[in-house]
Amino acid sequence: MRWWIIAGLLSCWLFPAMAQAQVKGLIVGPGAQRYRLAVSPLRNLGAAGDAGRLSERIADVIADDLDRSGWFKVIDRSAYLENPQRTGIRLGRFDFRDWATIGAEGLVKGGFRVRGARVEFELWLYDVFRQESVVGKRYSGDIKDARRMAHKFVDEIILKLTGTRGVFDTRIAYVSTGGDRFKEIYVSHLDGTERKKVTDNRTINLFPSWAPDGKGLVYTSYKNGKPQFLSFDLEANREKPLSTRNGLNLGGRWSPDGRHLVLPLEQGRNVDLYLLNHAGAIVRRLTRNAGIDVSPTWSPSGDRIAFASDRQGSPQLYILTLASGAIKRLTFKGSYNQSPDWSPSGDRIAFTGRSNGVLNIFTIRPDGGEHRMITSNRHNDEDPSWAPDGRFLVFASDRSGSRRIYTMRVDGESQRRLTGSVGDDTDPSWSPRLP
Amino acid sequence: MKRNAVFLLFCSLSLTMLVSCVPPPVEPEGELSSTPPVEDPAAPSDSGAIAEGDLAQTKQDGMGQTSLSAHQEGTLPDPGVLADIFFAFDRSELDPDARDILQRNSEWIKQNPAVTIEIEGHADNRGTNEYNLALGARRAQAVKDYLVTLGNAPDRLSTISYGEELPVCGVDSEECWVKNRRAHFVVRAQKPAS
Repeated sequence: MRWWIIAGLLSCWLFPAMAQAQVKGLIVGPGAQRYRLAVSPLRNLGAAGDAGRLSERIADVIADDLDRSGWFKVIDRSAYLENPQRTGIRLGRFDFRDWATIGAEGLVKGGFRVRGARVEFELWLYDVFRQESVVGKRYSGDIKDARRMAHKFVDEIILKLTGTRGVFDTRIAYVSTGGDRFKEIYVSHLDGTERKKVTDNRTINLFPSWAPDGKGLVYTSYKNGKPQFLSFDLEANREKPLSTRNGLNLGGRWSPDGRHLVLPLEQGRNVDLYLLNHAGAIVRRLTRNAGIDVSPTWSPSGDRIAFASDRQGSPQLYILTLASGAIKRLTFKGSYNQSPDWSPSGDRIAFTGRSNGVLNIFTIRPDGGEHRMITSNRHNDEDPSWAPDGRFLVFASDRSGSRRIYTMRVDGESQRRLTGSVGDDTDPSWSPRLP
Repeated sequence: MKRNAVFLLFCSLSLTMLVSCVPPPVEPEGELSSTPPVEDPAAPSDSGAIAEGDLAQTKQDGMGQTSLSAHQEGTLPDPGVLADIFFAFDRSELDPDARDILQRNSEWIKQNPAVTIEIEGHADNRGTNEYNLALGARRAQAVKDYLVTLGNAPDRLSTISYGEELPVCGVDSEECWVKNRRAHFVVRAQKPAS
């Protein structure tokens, strides 16, 4: 269904520099105190009743996103003093003392109006101490897209308070057994809601990876009985083959400019990396080696590709420079390093490493410096994928017994599970910013 | 030659699994368009059309008796016909036991010239799926190479890797891993499509 979101600034921020300075110091940086926010249920501004319970549901979405970011502590709603349906939502129409009393530093208020199948939101973030507005936005669209509007508002809040837009209006693609015996590809919000099944061919589908424009996925599928490399256009709801060569067509990725693909292919006797054009034709072979070369990931400028290879015995990460063809080993610590993912800003590569017999998430600079262990538990954490802001990672973990998808900040803080999953979930891929 | 019932596994593959393309429904009344433009028209990052595809596809029942679904349903070919062989952890070399089994398999393949053989390479679940798929491919290729050296025509032998995706044993123990690190043989009635 086609839909429209129109959003605009409702007002200027009165003292943006002051508000930013005050808040920014509080919420950025590891170990920082979490900014205490209240998220009021929204006021119904329309004539119609709130049959869909938007008032609380949308406040819940905003509160959950804010909490999930790890930068905010959302004060429990039961502590709120004012009646949200009786007080105003704009500056001067409510009493900041009702919020200062319960310890709120920030306050999200807003209203909505339902007309038929459509809804309009007016959403505000206020600074309770300064008694001024920090962010004000209006959104309108189909009611079914109400959650997405709430995510967009949270992203605005995070942009205002940290200088970089949030990532709550993005999606995670992953593989799930969905409780049965097949592996299908799903896309959901990063809290696990708004889940959609992308493939439904009742075979094995693996390694989803996003197109750089966020409009499609590529993946490996056994739907035709062999491991082939396919793409799925999420807008047109259409699947097409990109590489159906004999042997493995294994977990490829679009280049950042969307003009090429890198794909591990089993041509002849071994798996090597190949450069493909956008239609899937081989441009050239990139690696020529007796080892297994898999899991390629592009640098954001598209000039290099990191990948995993067992060419020197144990699986380690390597970086290929495309212009020269030079290949340099990246990881030297540990006997098992796999599944690299290059950060959107280019300064780090996340990967899976084995330590003390379990898998954990690590990051390293592309020059080999700052080799850091990010997760450290007794279970297996693997397959990291960067959020488009470079501040969060998504990964798979078996810490709960079955394999599930988790998000975390890149410092390892704020680890949260995707909710509502059934079966085993693996191979997460974080979308770029969505159109 | 016909003393054994040849196990035939037809891969009735739907080469094109039709994806239902649901045309976007007509925009409802357009109450939004009757709304006056929002105050700040210069907010391009938040405005504009966002088309959203409905990802639900029609379910295709009876997706064919692929080796894949046969495995998952536990209807393996008679193991007496072509026995599985097993590998050491992270290795694709054939040990003497494997060679013995392959020599017996080779005799059967030669005595049944009407069939072709698909060699499946499998791995245990340690390591990434990508790596294990590549390892499974290596194992299947090693088996094919050996069968060719025993005098079988290469064009009767195809390989496919399932990596760690189709374990016969689902527990994380050495006992299970040994069983999963295997090459398995699927007998087909005719030449596989290339």
